[in-house]
This record gives sequence, C-alpha cells and structure tokens, in this order.
Amino acid sequence: MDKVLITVGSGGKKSQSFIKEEILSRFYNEKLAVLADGALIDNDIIITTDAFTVFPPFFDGGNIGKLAMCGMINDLASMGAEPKYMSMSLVIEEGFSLEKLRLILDEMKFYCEKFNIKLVSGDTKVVEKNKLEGLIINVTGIGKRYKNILLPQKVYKPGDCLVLTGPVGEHSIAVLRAKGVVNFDGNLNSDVAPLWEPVKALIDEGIKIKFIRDVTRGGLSAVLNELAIFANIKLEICEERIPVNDIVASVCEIYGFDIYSLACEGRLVIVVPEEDAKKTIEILKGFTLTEQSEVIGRVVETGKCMVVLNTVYGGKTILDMPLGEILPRIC
Amino acid sequence: MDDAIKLFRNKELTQKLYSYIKERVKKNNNLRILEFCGTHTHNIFQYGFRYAFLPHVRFIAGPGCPVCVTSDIELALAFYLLEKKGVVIITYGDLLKVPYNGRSLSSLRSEGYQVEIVYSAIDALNVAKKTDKECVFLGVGFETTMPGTAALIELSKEKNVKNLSVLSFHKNTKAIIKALGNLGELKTDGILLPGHVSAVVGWEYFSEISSYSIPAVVVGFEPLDILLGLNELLDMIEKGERSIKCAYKRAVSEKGNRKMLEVINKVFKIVDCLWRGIGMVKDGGFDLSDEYDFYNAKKRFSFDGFKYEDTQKNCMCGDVLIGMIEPYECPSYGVFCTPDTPIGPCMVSHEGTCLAYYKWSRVNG
Amino acid sequence: MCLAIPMKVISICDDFCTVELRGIKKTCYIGFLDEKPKEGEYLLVHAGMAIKIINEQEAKDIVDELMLLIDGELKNSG
Repeated sequence: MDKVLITVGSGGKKSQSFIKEEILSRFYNEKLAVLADGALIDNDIIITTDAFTVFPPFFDGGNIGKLAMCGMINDLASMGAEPKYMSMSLVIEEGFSLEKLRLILDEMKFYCEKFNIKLVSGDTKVVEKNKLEGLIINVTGIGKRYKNILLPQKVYKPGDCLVLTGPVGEHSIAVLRAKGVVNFDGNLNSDVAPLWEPVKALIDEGIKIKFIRDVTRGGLSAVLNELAIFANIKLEICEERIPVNDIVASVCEIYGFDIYSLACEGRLVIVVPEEDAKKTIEILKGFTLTEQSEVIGRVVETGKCMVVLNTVYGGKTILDMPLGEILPRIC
Repeated sequence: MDDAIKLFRNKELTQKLYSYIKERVKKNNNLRILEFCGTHTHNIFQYGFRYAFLPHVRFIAGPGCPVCVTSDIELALAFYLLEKKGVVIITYGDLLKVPYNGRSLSSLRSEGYQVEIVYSAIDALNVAKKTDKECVFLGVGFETTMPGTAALIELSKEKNVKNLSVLSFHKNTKAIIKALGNLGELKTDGILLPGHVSAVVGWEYFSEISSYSIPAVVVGFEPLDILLGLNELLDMIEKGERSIKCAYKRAVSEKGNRKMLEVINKVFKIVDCLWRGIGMVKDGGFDLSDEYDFYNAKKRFSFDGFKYEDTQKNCMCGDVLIGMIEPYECPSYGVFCTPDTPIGPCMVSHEGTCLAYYKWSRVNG
Repeated sequence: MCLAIPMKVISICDDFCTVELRGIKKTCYIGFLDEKPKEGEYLLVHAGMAIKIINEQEAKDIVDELMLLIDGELKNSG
C-alpha cells in the first residue's frame, strides 16, 4: 500500500505500525522510543505536541479550542508535569467565520488563565478555500516535572491496580452526532476536560503512581494495549467495574459500535500499587471531573503482553488494539 | 414495563438456568448444536456459554453471516462500478473492509473513489439527492434487511429519484438450510435459528427443516434467550421431536410481519446465487423483480470488460461457514489471516466465525 | 443476524413514532406494522424500522414457566 490510509490517524493498530515504520525508523532515540504522551528533556522539562483536526469544530460540550488545551494539559499530566508554556500554530481555511474563531480562541484563553499557561510562540497560516475543512490547531506544551515524579515507570507487578477516571466514549459520540453520523434526542456532552488538578492531588498525597495515560483516539482498548506492550504485562479488566454512560451505551447498542474503541478527551487510566488504590479513588472522587473513578482491573502477570476482559456474563475475551475507523453496522 | 424486557439480561435468572442446564446435559453425549446466526456465535462466547457444556454439548457456528457469504463476484461488481463507471457506492459499514483481491471499499475510498456509509437503507436517498452522480446502494443482508432495501426502492420510485439504483446481494436463509440439508451437510443434532430474520419471516418459514429430521428452535439474543432456546432444543432432542419451535415469542410470530413479507415478495424475486465459500446455492439469493429493472444496477449499467478472480485459494471460510471445521483448523487462521490482515470476510465481519474465535478463544491459550 | 433492539414508544405521528432506549430518543418507521402501537409499548427496531410490537405477556409467561421448571427441579433434588 503506497498511500496513507485514514486508519493511520485513528490511534489503533495502524497508527502504531505507522509510527514504528515511518517515524521511529527515521528518528529513533531513547526518549522517542518510549512513545509516551510527552518526553522528558533536560531533567525536569516535559514537552508534548498534538494537532487537532476535529470537524465540525463545535460539538456539544466544547469546541476544537477546548480540545486543544485539554489535550495538551492531559498529555503533560500523564507525564506528571505541571503546564507552564505553550506554542500554537493555526492553519485556517480561507473564509472561516471570524466570530467562530474568536469563540475558539477565547476558550483557549480561558484555560491558559485557569492554569497559568503562557502562550509564548505561535504561527498562523491560511489556506485556500476547500483545501482544508475548518481549521487545524497544533499545540506544543511545555511542563515542569512536578515533585520529581517520573512517569511512566518501568516496573509493574501482579496486583497493581488500574483506575479509570470516568465513563468512556462520550466525546466520540458527541462528535459523531455533530458530524451527523448518529442522530438521537438526548443530552450528551463531550467529556473533554483538563485533568491536571486531580493528578496533582495524587502526587501531593504521595500516591506511588506508575502510569498515567489519557484515553483518546482508540479508546480504552488502545490505552490498555499501549500499557501492556510498553510494560510487557498481562492485564485483566472486569467489565462490570467500568463506569458507563447510559446514553453512550444505548447509542453503541443501536449502531453496533464497540464502546471500548471510542475516544474520550477527559478520562485517564492510572496504574497504582494495590496498597494505594483505595486512597487514589478517594482523592479522585473529590474532584467533579473524576468523581466516577473506579478500579477496573489489575496487572495479573508480567512477561506476557495481553489485555483480557472478563465480561458481565462470565465470558473472557481479548481486548485487542482497535483496528481503526468507528463504523456503524447493520448485521 | 421495563422489567419484561430486562428479564432476559437478568443475571440471577440466567445463572439459575445455566446451572439447571449444566446438570441436565450430563446425560447427553457429544451433542452438536448448530447456531445458524453469526451474532449468536459472538453472544455465546460473550456470555461464557461456548465451552461451558462440553463435552456434552458442543456449539458449531453456521453460515449466518451475510457479509461473510457475499461472493467475490458481488464485490467485483461494486468495485467495477466505482472504478469504471464513476458511481457513488452507498453501503452499510459492515461491507467496508471486506477484502477482494487485496482491496476493499475502504482502500478504494482512500484512493479517491466515493464510498458513503449509511446506517439505514432509506438514508441512501439523502445521499443521492445531494449529487448529480449515479449512486448505487449495496443491499446486503438476509431477509431482515430486505424490507429496508425495498422501502428505499419504493420511495425512490415515489419521489422520482433517477440517479439511485441497487445492487442486491441479499441472501436466502431458508435456501441455504435446504441446500445444506440436501447435501447431508447439516451434521447436527439441533439448530438454533436466527431470531431477527424470524421476526420478519415468521418461524413457519423454516418448517421444511423438519424434513431433515433435525429439531430447531428460533432463539433471541440475550443471555437468557440463548439458554431458553438451548433448553427447549434439549427437550426436543430427548423426546425425539423433529419440528420447529419458537423460544422468542415476544418478538417472533408464526407468520412474521405480513407487510414486510408482502413488500419483499413484490420488490424481489428469488434467484440462484453464489455463496462465498459454499458455491452456487439454488434459490440462494434475491434480485429485484423485473418490474423494478430501472432500479436494478445490474440492468442500468453495462459491465463491458468485467472480470473477476476467484480469490479463495488460501481461505477456508467455506468449510468454517458450514460448520465442517473450526477456524483454528484453517492454516491461515491467526497466522496470515487476522482482523488486521484478513484474507476472508469471516475475519472481517462482526458476525464472522473466525473473528469471533480470534476475539474470544485466544484468551484460553 | 442483524441488530434489532427493543425500544419504548414515547409518541406516535402517522407512520412514524418516537422511541426511547435508556435516555436516547430516535424516530422509528411503523408503516410495516399491522396495528398501531400504543405509548409505553416496546417495539423491536432494526435500522430505524419497527418489525414487531413486543409481546410483554409472552415475555413474562416464558420466564414464569422457566421459574416453575427450575424451582420444581430444586424441590425434587433438594
């Protein structure tokens, strides 16, 4: 195949192979090879970058600006870094509404002020009409490692607990609705949210965090598989423990979507030692954005890379890295 | 009111019936139960039933995966229209990744050809209205999806939409059961029949199965439904009953949905048809009736220079589909043929047996 | 085969009705049904079309029969 397929950007298996074959092969270094959400450079500076291409740029619960800020803050949080500075490039389709652009930028300003993040560098390009849909925002975030925490850790043991900070799939369904792929009457907002504060609280309370990753493209399946591959461990997840949004569950049932492949933008998977699990949940439940946190599973074996889901009815399945596009089905 | 529906997912009830069946099957020996429908295959795994009653009862997956049995010729026709006639192909998401000759509708879309996905057949009208190009809807599925395709055609006629036509890939569930029965390939002690096809056609539709002396039960899809169906089938096997029963009466009647059957009979005619991996099946498919020639893509377009290649050399989907082998007996399974790199549609379709096994049985080693 | 799920009728307008499943509402075509459903009844819905009005009595009956069977067995064995 000599063309870039849409699946390369969807966060699943094809994304992973693309990164290995085209990026790592050319730019390999130890820091990049970790394939974490960001990289530690210069002892305590963490850098992360992301591009946001969602169309339409406005959806229930947010817009592309909020997405960009929260995405960056959460990537830094996954590395245990407090956000400090950012650079931003805007690529805008000619004719894009200035009023809409202002709303997007105002949203970004709100989060900069809330988290005391300074925009220190940027770039703006405008491309001809129809060469782009709407706009693309790229943000690069610079954070400071908080209290010398080092993430992700390399050593895991059976019994380590997997925490999920809330129900999955709300962002995906909100965007699919904005695109007109699904339609229904019912209240559903994207889960897009900045999660630095709960993470900071965990660090402040001395929780021995081993791993944090935000659940984005590819959904819960992708994050769990990334962890399993990174650490070469076997995870067992208990489906009954996974928090569920009824509306998302209903949409998935009607359209045949796999809920564990759906993207979020405001949920974290956190791995902590067994002895810290209870306290972790207590701390997280103290924040509105993470009040539905649950321990959803454990590390069960090391030296073997696998993610197993124990279903509600007693079946066991392998939760694989998702393949790509979310498709509605009829059969 | 909600309770009546939720009952069939009730864990306590399911657990009770599960324990009951586990006890009663002890007097049975190596019963083979064929679940016709791909969704039943998945659900039986998902609910933890698949290996639960061994060695007394073994579930065998059947050919009830309409995407899996879509033939290479049918895919080649769709690809031809895309590439040579510049049409917009409108399809359910199920068909997007099915491979033929190394390509799929998905890969063709990334090459720039126009492929649109719809959730419901009638949505295809909206696609056609937004363009001047010829649009072709791929009607895939068993009898359940046919009323949707029929409604699309009738609506197109009513609204005088001229740039829409249909390629019918619809397949006939009764015909395949008959064909397998006549070939002596229904090597099974009982059959779990598809609940939602039956909701449309009625359970009487399958009454000819009794001529093969095999009991059959129409079954729903919740955990309790499957166990109720299995339990009913075990009763029939023990009593030597060779008929059709229905364990999904809340959704299925004897005669089915009268209006849906009428519109199916009006808009479609039964034809012989190639089932992928199985071969030509007498009365195995449905095409549009002559009255609807204008909406039949096979009649609207000329297919000069059309060629297709039989690509089934490394694929044993056919044997899997009729329950002759289990997926891991296919040498390609899990090695060359994975959901990521599928050789055959059984590994692509959500109802595909190979995908079900890949997803659910690897966990056991 | 084929995804079809029970959804509850909220309101009816000619050949369409609004149906609901756990918090979401959708439009459903009921032109293929022989009789009009009533609000509160459940429909078996496939791709936006109603195939059948779900017979709740049948649902209750089969579960009642099941419970008699199982409880009977428990009494016999216990």
